[in-house]
Amino acid sequence: MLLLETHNRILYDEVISHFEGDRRVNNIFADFDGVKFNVQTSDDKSSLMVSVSLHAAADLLKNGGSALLKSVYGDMLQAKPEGGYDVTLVIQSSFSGNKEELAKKVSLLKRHLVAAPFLMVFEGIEAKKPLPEIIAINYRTDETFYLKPQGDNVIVIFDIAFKDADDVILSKIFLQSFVDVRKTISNVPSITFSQKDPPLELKGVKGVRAGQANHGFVSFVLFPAHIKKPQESADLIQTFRDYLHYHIKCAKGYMHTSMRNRVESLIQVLNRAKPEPVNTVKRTITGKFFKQN
Amino acid sequence: MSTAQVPYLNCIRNTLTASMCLQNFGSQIVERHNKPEVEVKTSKELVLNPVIIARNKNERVLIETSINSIRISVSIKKSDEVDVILAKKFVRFLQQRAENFIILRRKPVEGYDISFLVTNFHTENMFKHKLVDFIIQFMEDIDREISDLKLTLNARGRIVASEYLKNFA
Repeated sequence: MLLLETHNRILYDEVISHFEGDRRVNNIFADFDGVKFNVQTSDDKSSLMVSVSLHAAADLLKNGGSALLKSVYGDMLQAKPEGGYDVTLVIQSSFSGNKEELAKKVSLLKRHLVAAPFLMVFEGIEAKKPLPEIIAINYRTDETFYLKPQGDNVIVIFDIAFKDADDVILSKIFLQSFVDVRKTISNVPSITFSQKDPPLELKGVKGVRAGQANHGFVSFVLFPAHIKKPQESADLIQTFRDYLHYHIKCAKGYMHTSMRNRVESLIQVLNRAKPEPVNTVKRTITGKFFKQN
Repeated sequence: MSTAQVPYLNCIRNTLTASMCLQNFGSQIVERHNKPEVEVKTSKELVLNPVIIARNKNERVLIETSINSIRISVSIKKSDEVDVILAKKFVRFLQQRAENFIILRRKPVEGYDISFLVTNFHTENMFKHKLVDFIIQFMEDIDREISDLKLTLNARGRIVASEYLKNFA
């Protein structure tokens, strides 16, 4: 499967196992984009608390996040999140409905949170409601994505940082293919990228990291056709950054294996240059060993 | 091997064959020392004129000879940024395995990507023509590997991008 999943498998398993056994758990685990989950059984084992912390929580909750979470999770949402976390869900052990469905729903917590601003903007455009001019979400410490409604379209701009200078060059190849896809498949978002200057849409926006080393900007223009399928588009676009990085790493891994094989074959060529050791032990006609020096 | 490369590699092969006539020669300066003269360069009269065989600015080979050793330095073709990364990775890979490569020099000569040092002890223990074969094969392989990797990288980019965007359409 080339695309990344939007739900968190560990979270899913944790919820399922909570209903199956009566272990007490207190686990912390991570997801993409520096997201941290905490799963904790309450002292009397009557409930399971799922907390999540993410860098952009404040931005996300403000831009449609809290409303969306309320509509998806309803009573499960704890009014005041646990200390150090941004959102907490409480799952009662007495829950009697479809447990797998519930686990699936809980495991999509991060997806719902990040998709919230997208859904808000998509909905606003459909309903022709006034929207903020630009929404900036600092989803990682040094990376941000921007949402800018423009007429019937939405422009999503990613500011992507690369730790390694080599990754910048590799990403260029990948991004160029993203741009070129439009020539072969119709109806896809129009993509542009720049590895130096921020796009014009971000002119005058505060906090844009212009001119920094190893920073790239990728803009997606989502057309009305994409806005008609809000959840699918939001799911895809929120995994874009991780998708890109994931495949850059895969490409590097492939290079590594292929080079390793090539080096091995070269060693063989060099070893061929060494003469074979002459067999010095021979048998005489009577069957005794005869050593030749 | 592409036909364009043939004369270049042939030229290297002939030069190497001609220059790889080494003999055991102890140091003239320090008693009971036996060092590759091309590295220590203590006596001018033991070092011969170096030869550079160049195809273009980037693709070139430097062959330095002396009485008991020969040093071959290769600069790999770099037509764009991706080539530079791939060449760097590949060379690093080889140098980490220098022990297995006996004749590989751990550090390249300045201005080149990778160097080999062949001493008279190597030519005594190994077939000379096979050593030359190895160096030629090495140069062919490294070029082929880099262009192969570049092709697969581009193909991967295309697949990755269309798979992602297909879901939008």
